[in-house]
Amino acid sequence: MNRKMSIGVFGWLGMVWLLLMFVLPVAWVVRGGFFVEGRFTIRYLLYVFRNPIYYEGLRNSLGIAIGTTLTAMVPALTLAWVAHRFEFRGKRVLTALALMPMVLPPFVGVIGFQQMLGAYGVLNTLMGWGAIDWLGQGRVWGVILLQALGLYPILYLNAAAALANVDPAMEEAAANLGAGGWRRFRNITLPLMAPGLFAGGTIVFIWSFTELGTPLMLNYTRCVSVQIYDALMDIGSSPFPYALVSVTLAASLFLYAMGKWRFGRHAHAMQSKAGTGHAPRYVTGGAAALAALPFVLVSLIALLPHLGVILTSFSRAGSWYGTVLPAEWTSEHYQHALGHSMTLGAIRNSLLFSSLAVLLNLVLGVGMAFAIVRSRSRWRHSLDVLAMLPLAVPGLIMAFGYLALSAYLANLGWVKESTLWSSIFDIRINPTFFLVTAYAVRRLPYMIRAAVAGLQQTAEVYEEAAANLGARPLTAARRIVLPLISANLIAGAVLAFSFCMLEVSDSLMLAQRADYYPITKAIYELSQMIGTGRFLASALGVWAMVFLAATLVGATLLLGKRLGALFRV
Amino acid sequence: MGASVRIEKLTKRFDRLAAVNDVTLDVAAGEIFFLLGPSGCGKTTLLRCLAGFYTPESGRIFMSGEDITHVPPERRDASMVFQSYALWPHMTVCRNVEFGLAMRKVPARERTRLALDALRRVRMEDYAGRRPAQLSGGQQQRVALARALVVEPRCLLLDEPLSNLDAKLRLEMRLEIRRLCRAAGLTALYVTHDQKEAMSIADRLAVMRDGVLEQVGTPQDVYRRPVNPFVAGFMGETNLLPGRLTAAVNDGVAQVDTVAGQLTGVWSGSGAPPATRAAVTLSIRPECLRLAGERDPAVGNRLSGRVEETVFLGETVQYRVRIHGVNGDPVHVRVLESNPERLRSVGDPVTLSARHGESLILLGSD
Repeated sequence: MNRKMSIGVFGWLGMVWLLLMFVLPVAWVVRGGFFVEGRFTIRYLLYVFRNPIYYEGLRNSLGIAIGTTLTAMVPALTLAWVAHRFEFRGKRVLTALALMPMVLPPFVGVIGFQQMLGAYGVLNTLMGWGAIDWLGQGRVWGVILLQALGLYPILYLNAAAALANVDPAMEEAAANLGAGGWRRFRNITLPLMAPGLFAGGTIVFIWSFTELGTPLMLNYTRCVSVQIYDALMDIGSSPFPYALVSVTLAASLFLYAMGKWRFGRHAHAMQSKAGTGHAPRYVTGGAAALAALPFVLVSLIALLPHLGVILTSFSRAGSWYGTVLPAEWTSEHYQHALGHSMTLGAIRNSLLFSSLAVLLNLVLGVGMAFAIVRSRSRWRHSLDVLAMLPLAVPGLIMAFGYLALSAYLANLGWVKESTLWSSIFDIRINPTFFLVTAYAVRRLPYMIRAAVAGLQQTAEVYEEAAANLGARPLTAARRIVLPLISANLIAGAVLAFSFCMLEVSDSLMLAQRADYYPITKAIYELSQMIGTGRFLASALGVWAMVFLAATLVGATLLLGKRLGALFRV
Repeated sequence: MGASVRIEKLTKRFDRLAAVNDVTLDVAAGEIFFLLGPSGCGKTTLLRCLAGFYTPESGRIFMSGEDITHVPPERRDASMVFQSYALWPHMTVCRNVEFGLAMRKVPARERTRLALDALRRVRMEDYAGRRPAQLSGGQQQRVALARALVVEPRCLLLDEPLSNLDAKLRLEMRLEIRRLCRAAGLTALYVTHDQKEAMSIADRLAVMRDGVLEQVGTPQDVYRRPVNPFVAGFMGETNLLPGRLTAAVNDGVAQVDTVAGQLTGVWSGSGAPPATRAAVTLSIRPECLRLAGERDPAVGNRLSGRVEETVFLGETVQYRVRIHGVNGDPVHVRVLESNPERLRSVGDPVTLSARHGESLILLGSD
């Protein structure tokens, strides 16, 4: 097989897989909302807007997304700017600390936050206030705050990467012409880093627009994600949920396209890579403390939910009311968790699903990255766009599509009759196939970005040299290219893996049988149980935190600053 | 023994532009052949067609008489030395050299022996365990050469292999390359834009422009008898004086009305000589112009003017001399003087002379 053909085969393999497992379910949803009994109609679509409850849900979700993105922007920009300008002792540790909130999905933090802000929580106790339920009072603000605290690291990484790409000569030129620090930042640096920042902003926006776990945990039902979740019961009978999902999809795609259109064309502005190295100013003493302060503050606040979860997992049931710290400590929840079928099973399931998804992503992602970077075919751009598109389609919508697809497939005669096929396609029997697919599709962009970055840094001449000495294309790829991009691949895989482990919407919606619950679904179900459920959930959350912290630290060590590049659209 | 290479009516286009345009070329087995030309002339494209990285739109390529036009690169057995060397950074020097042998299924122990042997030939055996990043440019170059040679290819392709080295190393390496090729009896195709490199080691060379071979021949041939002003100017320095023939070429000699006055030139082209009044260019190399007062008194063309600029080059001095043109415009010519007793100053009047035989009549203008 010659080189062109091998690349072509991988490219087409990826394309077909994406068409089947990504485009088809999404198209299925759209079709379900617009074609009823074989005829096109926009009746249901109009109904979404006419129904005051759903209209309000859409509006609230939009508000949450705007609020979350703007709120997250504040710590992200501040930290990125400080890290860009100043060098001080302990900066590496502090920057790592600022990324830590990522090790826990925001919704798990709700358990911890309820301890802090509940009627008999830490805040009221500390301040001596009465029994005010802060989270119950302002649920929207709770949702926004929790999501912003969980998602700002993505923006921070983007901002840091964008800042690193701004040629210091641009700022120097401004300084040379008399622009002071703040004006320089506002007029020169910020516009230049805008594309990178916007790329991260789009991800955060779409993420928070359709985030399911946090509002669900906070009992905030008037937003589109929870409404879709509740509408799942009608998935077989009514076109209505399909229309609702279609509207959400359109909104997400519109945002994504707008970002691409607004900043995609001007991407060349960032192409002039730093000619001279940028040297942050080394500060000591009071100045260093001042520079470290934002990191400490942001990390402290952002890690409060985590702290709450950890404390909950170690507190005896009923011993943390009206006190700052739990009155009685215990490790019994961990012992119970070890004996509880749902927790152990969830860990096993999550590890299995995530590993399979990452493995699939590695194979497909590397092949597709090859096709995107190395082929000269007209199709490579389509492939590139298609492979990045899962970033624009929320997990909630994908999950809905898979559910609808599964409902259809499970009813086919040949699937029904075969135990094998129904265990693959019928989510009610075994969600493994669709969960792994969902995890893989949505993490594929990260994997591809990682592989593409590696390939772009690896000159094609290395492959040519191998071919010249008699290596066939696959041999050259295996012996020359893969080792050269292995750091990127490992980092991409670790990142994809942790995101799979943390995945919320697909997990909540697709895993319907307790023996197939992944960690996030188990945490959610446990937290809803009366009795010691929330303690078990906390223990499981702590386990996940520790595990993910370890993997992310590994990825950061491997990839360093380049980690930020993976979060770009 | 190396293979003979035959390129037949080869055309390679990028979009609409023909980077290599209908090129036909024969290289004999064991010959060191140079492709010479300015950047963008298509020489590297031609070499990459030979290596198989580009598929030509039309034409054929033969190696030892076998048509290899559509053979994939990995089965061509034509080792390439890349301009950037392309040593794989994740492998040691030894592993780099062994790679080609591994692809040829040579047993591991034999592989190491052969690789070390090849490294010895380029005097790099002490560096076998290092990584490419730990080597200097010249050392990387040697390793790249060893990697290409160790598989005993039918043909060696070199793509500006010395362009990243300093002047002294370049001199050293080009002799080394010739020595190694000769020792192995290899056919070598060597791409460069450095005419000195080509003249010093080529058996034959081709000067390329805009995807076409302008002239093929031995270095002496091409230098002494360029077919047109472009070749004359590209192969070494020359003074080009545009003009017209005043009379038909007679016995290989003719008078030319140039911008610097009427001069005599010789016609040494292979085709029909140009007719009277034909537009031609007279080419006189700087080293062919003698300054008056030297041993060889003026037989042939004479030009007089004033020194306008002197460039001291050590063993020689280069002068830029301003001559009064026929229509009042100044004409500048370059002159070389070897080992002069004293340097002439700017403004000094000088008389230049050149033998008729060293004033070449070339067709067309640059």
